[in-house]
Amino acid sequence: MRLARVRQPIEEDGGLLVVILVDRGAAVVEQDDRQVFLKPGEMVFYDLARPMSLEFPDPFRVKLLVLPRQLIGLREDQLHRITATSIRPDATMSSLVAAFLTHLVDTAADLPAATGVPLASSAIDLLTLLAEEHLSLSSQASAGLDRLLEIKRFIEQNIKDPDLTPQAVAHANSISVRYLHKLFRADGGTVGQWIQRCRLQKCRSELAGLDATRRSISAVAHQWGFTSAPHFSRAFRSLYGISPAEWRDPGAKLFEGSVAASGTAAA
Amino acid sequence: MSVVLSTAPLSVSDRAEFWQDAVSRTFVPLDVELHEDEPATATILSRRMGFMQVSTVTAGPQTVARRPRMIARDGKETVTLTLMRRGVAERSQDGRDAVVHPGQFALSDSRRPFDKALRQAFNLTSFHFPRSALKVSDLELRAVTATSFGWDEPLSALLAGHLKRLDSSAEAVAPTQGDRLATVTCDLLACLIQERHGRLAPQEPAAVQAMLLRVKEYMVRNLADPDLSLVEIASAHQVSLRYLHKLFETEGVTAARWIQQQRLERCRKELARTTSQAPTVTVVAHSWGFANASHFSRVFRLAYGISPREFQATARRHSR
Repeated sequence: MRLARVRQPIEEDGGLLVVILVDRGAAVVEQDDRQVFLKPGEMVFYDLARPMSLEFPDPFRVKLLVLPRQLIGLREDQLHRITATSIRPDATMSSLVAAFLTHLVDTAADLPAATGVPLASSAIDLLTLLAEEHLSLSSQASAGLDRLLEIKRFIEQNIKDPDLTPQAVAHANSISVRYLHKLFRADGGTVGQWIQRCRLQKCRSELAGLDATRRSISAVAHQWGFTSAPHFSRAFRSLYGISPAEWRDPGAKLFEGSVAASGTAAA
Repeated sequence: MSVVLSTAPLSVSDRAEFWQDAVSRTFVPLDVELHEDEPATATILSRRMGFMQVSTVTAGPQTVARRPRMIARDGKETVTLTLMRRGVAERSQDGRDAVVHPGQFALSDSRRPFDKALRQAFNLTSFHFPRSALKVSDLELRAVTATSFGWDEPLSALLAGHLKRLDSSAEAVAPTQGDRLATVTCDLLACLIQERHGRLAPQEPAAVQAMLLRVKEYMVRNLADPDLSLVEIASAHQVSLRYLHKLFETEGVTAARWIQQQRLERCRKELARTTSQAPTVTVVAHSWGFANASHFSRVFRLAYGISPREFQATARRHSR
């Protein structure tokens, strides 16, 4: 087992999510009455919060990443849908992300220590994109889905606007507020939640940067539309399971050992 | 959706003009001088990935320049990250030169003059995005223009690999993911720039000293306030508590200790005054922000080896 020292997440109430990328050999993962057999190049998510089994029938080599589940920013029902399902290596995001993560894990020991937090943050952002791609590939297309995607994109592009209300979004996209709410309800959430999630994502990304020490948390939160610092901290913690301060400045308690690992063993 | 600009259908004599226009429309207004009298076909294939434009250029030898008059006229604020695929580029900006080989990448900032010479047929991919998307200071960005990044260091290698993969898959990225993927790419680039800057120009001394001075001035002005807190000081200067602590690392004492030392010193000066109406120890302590008299006595004694009362008594004795 060759372990590269990068970062290790804390174990919070939310539990941990594991991502396995098979390099050589094979892996069999079972969770939630699903079983998936992985070949080299294939990836899988599984959730440590629920019973699961992991088996390596042959000599193997895998890349492994472990992260607190909430950092992916997905709802429980969405996480349930993607765990223990094989992620196709040929889809756009999966090949991009798989290659990046492999490279990251392989060189983790040689990367400057100070870059640990920003790189972990980027890795998580990529995993989120991967999970979303996988979700959309595995879900049934609905009539409203394309429209919803357009609107989500509009929101993301205009997230800096403090006047971005559901009314403004509906108006800009030539639909009624009622229909807007309907689209989001079909997706399992609300437009307000989505807007806030986008804002939190921006804050999170910025707080992970190397220069994060120069701006205060409330300055960052304010820039992305949060007028109250305590409200921001609460919302951040509620989505990601960790406070903004802990995210930016992981103390010794939080980040210690290795998360990225390469394991070789004989069956 | 991709856009292709090509000089193929044009006559050789028309190509130069069209090409200058194509390049200027794709990136920012530029002066392009082709080295060949009869230029071969040149193409630009552009695709969008959120706020990032990914353009692959194939062309013959040429020199490209961003001139001051163009900057003044268009005021464009963009950054272009160029990954060489075939051929070598000689770049200049901000008083620096660099040679960029296949597999390596370099940055240019449209807000200041630069030039680039390609002395042979070449193929490259440029990632073009608003300056505001790159979360680094102007100082940091200026330090890395016309600098070649490659596979020799693990962090730039990580980004080089990512850019190469983006090059092949940019057009297949879903519209809803483009912006975020572009953001991740800019974040990785910011990390690379700041790491390089942090290593080669450890904490721009001038800027740090200036900030430290401002913070100290603020502290001195507010010494008398017993509620003066580090959180408040950090917030007043729009920095984090962590950065405040870091500032004082060069001082050899913590921020809190520095404040205490300043307070003690002023108390000492006042206690040493021997006017007929010398204030009591308690009054002096309170007037310099010590809320608790016994705590004040304790730290005073630790600092000066004598209790405040004894110190004051000694001062009076010596003045007679």
